[in-house]
Amino acid sequence: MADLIDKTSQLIPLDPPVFDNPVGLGLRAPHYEEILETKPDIGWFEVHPENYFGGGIHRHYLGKIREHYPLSLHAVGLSLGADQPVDTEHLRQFKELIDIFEPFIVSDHVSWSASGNAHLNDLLPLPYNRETLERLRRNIEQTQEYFGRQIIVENPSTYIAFKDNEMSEFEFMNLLAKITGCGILLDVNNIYVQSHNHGLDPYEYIDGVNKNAIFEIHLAGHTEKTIGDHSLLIDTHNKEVKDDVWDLYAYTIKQLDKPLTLIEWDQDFPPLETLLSEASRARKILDLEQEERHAAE
Amino acid sequence: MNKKTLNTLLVGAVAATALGASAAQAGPAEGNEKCYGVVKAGMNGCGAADGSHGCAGMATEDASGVEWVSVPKGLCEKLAHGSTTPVTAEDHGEEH
Amino acid sequence: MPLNEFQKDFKGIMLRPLSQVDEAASQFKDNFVNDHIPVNERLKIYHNNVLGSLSKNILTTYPLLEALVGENFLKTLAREFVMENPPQSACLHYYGEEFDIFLKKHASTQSMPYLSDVATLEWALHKAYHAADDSPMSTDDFSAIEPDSLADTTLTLRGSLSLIASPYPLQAIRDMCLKKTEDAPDMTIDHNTRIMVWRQKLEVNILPLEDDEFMMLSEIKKDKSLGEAVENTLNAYPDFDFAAFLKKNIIFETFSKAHSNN
Repeated sequence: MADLIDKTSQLIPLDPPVFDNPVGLGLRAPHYEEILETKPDIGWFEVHPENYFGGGIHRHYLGKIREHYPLSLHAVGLSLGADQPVDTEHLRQFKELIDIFEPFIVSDHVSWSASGNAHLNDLLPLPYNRETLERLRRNIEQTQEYFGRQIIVENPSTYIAFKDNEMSEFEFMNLLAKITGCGILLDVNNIYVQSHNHGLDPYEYIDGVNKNAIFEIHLAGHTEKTIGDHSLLIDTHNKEVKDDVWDLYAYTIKQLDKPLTLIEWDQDFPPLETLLSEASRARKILDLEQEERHAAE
Repeated sequence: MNKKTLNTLLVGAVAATALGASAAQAGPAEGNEKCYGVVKAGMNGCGAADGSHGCAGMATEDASGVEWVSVPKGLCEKLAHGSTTPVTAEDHGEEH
Repeated sequence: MPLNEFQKDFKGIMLRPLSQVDEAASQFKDNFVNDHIPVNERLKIYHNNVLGSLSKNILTTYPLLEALVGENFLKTLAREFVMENPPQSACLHYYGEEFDIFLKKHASTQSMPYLSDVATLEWALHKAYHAADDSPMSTDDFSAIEPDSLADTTLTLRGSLSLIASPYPLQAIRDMCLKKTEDAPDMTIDHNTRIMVWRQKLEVNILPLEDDEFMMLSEIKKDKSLGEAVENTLNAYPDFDFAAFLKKNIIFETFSKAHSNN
């Protein structure tokens, strides 16, 4: 196992495309029509590919929207951290979508959801040790080989911590990128949630994660759940991004070069207007950073 | 039916369709009800269930097959065989 | 703890009743950090996410059932279904097909025997909505079949197509649930419902069928050759008009391809 962490992938790190507007939105069914009618000023859209398996009405709308916007496929079902190979039927259907919609990036999570034949439809936690690293390496490599392209993987929100962690989550993410050549999808809200739930410093996480591996940033809202005198933050994706998370985002992008940023919202859908206003808030922060850099030059 | 008669029947039917049977000319055909003009929700998402909502009253939602008590409350009351009697542990019998 | 073992045990906890989570959590006391928030409370977050999201998917797929029995009753059943039948695929629009069988067997629904058939209808609508895009056979496709091999040809029905037979007035029940009508149908008689559900382009359709049409389509679905299917249908229904049947089904685009067995 010792040689695993010494390994370095021969793949060239992914280079994010440059869009006029670096901010994207999670595309969800209730907004299809309005987006097609109004063509809002948004850089790109991201969808969960699983919702477009098969065919029919969702795929029809995705095709229409793809004619006007770049697209990212953000999966929730590869179960890369499961102690079993990635389901080949899932890969096949996923690849079919990649071939049709030509996304600029494909992603999933550092988590598991399947055990045996059961898929639990949640991003479940993993211990950060050599065994998990090796399992993820095999599954990420299997996926990258099947797709013929590199993927990026997202840091999760978790509600439980393992005693046998051998390293911190950002060290684990860095190693994963190094040994597989995958990129990192940095979810800033998840870092905030993790830090609250496990008593960590989110700024230390940002400082520690390998900036060169970051391809995309996610922002979403979370919910606080009180337990006794304490609380856990739940990554619910059903409300606005919290101010503390915006602050952490502003800190993060100071260390990056105009990163692609996505606003995610998965339930209790608001009017499209609300999502667009979240997106423009992200863009203002990015623009402000650019202005400060120019002023400093 | 002998094979020849059957074949004549089949060939005749196919020939008859050539005289004009296409979806385009059909228009709204009788009895055909079009459903789902609207877009359904996506099934997969990556937001967690809302703990603050989900946990409230979770005890009553929880289903083990022996401990729940729930009453159907809906349009079934209007149907002749609808039931409005509570289903309790005893009713569960040996089904599971 | 090895990854495989941990994931199996964790899955086991996710798929059991909430009342058993506390006890089950104790098996993980050496694996998880137990701090100001106890492990069992942390596990319950996942438990709620897993059962909550999967049962919500069942409710999304079966809105007519929700109208019939109410949200709480259906949620209770859905959670029990999820624990017994977790998804086999990560793509959730394939999930919940066996809910009709589950309802048929469940003690709490025995006084509502029609629920299972309503669920069958809802699954057919759901399946048609998400089915892969296949193209329909045209008159030209039929004309292209060698006349001599017609009798031995088998037809494939569109991937979105379902045939449903039920004694209950499923469409009237649906109309009532969708509030198209205030009137409840008479549930004391056999309605001999025979319907077809399928998708044409982006429209999901329901079409009531005559008994002979229903039998003919069922024979085709069973991969019977055209000759055998017509013969069997004619034996049962001497007035069956195959020419009219064929014309109607080309218009409704119910066949996707023909396979010659010669």
